[in-house]
Amino acid sequence: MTPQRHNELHDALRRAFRQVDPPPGFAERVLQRTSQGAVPKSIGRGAWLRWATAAALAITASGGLWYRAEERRRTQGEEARRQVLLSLQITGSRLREVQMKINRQQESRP
Amino acid sequence: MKPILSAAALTLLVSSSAFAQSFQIPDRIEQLSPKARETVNITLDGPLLRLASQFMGADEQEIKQIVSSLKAVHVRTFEFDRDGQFSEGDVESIRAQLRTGWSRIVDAREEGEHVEMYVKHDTEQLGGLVVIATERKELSIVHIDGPINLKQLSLLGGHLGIPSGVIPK
Repeated sequence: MTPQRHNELHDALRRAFRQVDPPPGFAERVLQRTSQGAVPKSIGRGAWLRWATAAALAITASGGLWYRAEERRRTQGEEARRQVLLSLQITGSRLREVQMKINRQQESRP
Repeated sequence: MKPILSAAALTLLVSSSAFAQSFQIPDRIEQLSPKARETVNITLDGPLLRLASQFMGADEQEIKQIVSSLKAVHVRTFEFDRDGQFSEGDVESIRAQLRTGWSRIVDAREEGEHVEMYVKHDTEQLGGLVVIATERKELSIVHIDGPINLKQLSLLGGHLGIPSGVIPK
């Protein structure tokens, strides 16, 4: 970099970072907005709470639905199991009758 | 055209044969319920049987093995207060469905009691079992649809009162 170019860059930086006074009434306007509560509070805190509440409700609701479905499934399963065992018991008793009849017929043969 | 006609004929033949072998409790049997003093009406299809098998206990593993492969179980029992509440025609409506694809392996009669046992033949193993038991005041029909391993079923003897002797191994 040439000395001339160095000086030009130095001057440009000084101009860019020169001290500038605020426009008239700036401080009053800032103080007025602050007193009116216009400055945003912690951004997104309310939204975060709403989302968290919604998520908690959704989880609770789905948990409740899952529990009810599981209860229904368990009741159906227990009832189906009872019916299967009853079916096999009835089958067994009918087959036992068959066996007794066959045995009696075989015994009565000479 | 000929291959299409042949395929259609084959499809018709196969489907009619499958239809002939399927078994349903006849409507006239279902209509006996109001006349009966006591009834048992059990209809379990494949999904319910699989669900039931999930709830079998540790000492019911043999039953679980049998049940999990079945397609359906139908049980109807009717106990009447007096004689003549069902006719031979009612029972015949059941037998009529068992003429094709089924074999009667037991036919035992004694003093007004009659028990018949039919098995359905599939390609490699028995594909179903029907038991019809009639007494003067009682009618029972059991239909087990699906592959039945009779050896397994005979092993249930003692668990559910199923005698091992009557079931061919």
